[in-house]
Amino acid sequence: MSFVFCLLCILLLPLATAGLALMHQGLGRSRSAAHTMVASLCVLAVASIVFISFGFCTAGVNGGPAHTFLIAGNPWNLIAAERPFAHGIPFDGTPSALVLCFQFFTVGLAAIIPVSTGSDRWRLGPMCLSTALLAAITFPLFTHWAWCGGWLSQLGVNFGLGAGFLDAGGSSTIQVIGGLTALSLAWILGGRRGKYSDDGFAAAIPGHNIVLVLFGCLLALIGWIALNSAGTMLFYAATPALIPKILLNTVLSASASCLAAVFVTRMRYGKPDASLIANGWIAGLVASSASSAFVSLGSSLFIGFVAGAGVMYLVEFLELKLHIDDPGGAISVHAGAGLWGVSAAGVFSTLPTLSGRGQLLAQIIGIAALLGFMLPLIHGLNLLLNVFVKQRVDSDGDRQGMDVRELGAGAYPEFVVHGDEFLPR
Amino acid sequence: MILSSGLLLVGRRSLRLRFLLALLCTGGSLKLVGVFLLLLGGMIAVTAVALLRQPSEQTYFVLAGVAFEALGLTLLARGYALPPRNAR
Repeated sequence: MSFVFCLLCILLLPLATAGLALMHQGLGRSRSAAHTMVASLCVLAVASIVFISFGFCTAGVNGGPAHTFLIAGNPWNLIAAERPFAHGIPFDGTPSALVLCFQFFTVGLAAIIPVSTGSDRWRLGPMCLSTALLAAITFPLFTHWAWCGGWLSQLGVNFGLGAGFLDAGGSSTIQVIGGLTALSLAWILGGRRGKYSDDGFAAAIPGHNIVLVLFGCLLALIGWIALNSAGTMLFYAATPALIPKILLNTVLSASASCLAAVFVTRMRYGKPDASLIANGWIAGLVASSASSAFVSLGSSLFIGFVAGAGVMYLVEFLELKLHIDDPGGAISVHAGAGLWGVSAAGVFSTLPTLSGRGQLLAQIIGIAALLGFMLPLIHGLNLLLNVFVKQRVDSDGDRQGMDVRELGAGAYPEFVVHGDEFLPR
Repeated sequence: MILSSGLLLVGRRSLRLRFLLALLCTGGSLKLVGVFLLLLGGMIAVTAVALLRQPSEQTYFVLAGVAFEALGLTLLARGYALPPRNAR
């Protein structure tokens, strides 16, 4: 692993976060635009501070102190035992410091995902508290399991399942954890005012600035290449020689996904839909993250194509059938495409393994852990928070918009006039 | 939950059907059953890895666990998707 290359990649990581923030802002309503950007900054600030203070104790680094239990004769590394404020991590050019930096940036990326789902109704205070729970408990726990010597990453060594759970760029640790948090919050918050009529009819509430959304996609591409490269070098001891392959696979996956979105939306609605195409682009990036260094270029195209086409149907299914109001499509894009990326890594990965079998099973066990342990934990924590602090804005805020309600002024005070409701009540 | 399971096992057929219907039509119960199935599925998958040695047995049990989780997720989503007057 090259320290300098890895550090360079980590320095580019915030571009992925910036891209997502722009997308969330553009896909929301104009009356909550400033609130969404302020929320993104606050969420990043809270995630950074809480992760360094407490979260890193649970996440740890590969080979660091951890609580390991012997079950049926096999070691199960469940949780790290680092000290608060990363005491004991040497800043002397060793990989531990880089892993800490990588986690420090990626926790912000995971935390910003639910902001999109809660757009136009999620209060700033509870949003920060929910982020604190993510940065202190849920993200670090799964990060340790998948990246930092936890039981999932050891499935290959301890149980002969391929090379263990494979997720180099965070399809599961970042994207699925963020997506499942978004799903939990969508359930708790309910739909936006005017989104669903009493008989369950869903109104279309279009995003207010599609140019920002598409610009966000381009920014995210650079951040994602850095994310996949840094993750592969840090957790799979890859050399910088592998970066060109990661770069090509990441871009190919996003391109195939974007074109799949163009094709599907044109086929279904007559014309390509800009916001769904943006979602398709990000879905390709998300799906590429798990195995961008370990699959062929052709496989990458296939992974991206399935991600883009699948997300289009998933967005519609969640909105129309399950009545989940997700303004930015974060649940479909991050949780849906993330789960597909993790599964695809098991099918297409060419990573050499100890036993030569079981990679797909290792990936399925990872998915089982995400849905069986992380989703109930995430949902339970957010429900508990909702008991003490109401997460949804009151009915006045629903009517005024979050900018006026929580910030006192709109993002575009001089020119935007909008109807109060999309559906008459 | 124990009472519910008991009623489902030993109650009269019509009673059992009515109870099952009531359970499935109430948002709160659906959510509880959904979360329970998610946890159960996760436990089945992890226990299979820990205790079973044959690859085929491991695969079947892990897939069974994921199937439980899929059912749990469906029930949870259905519980939240019910119209407000039923769900809350």
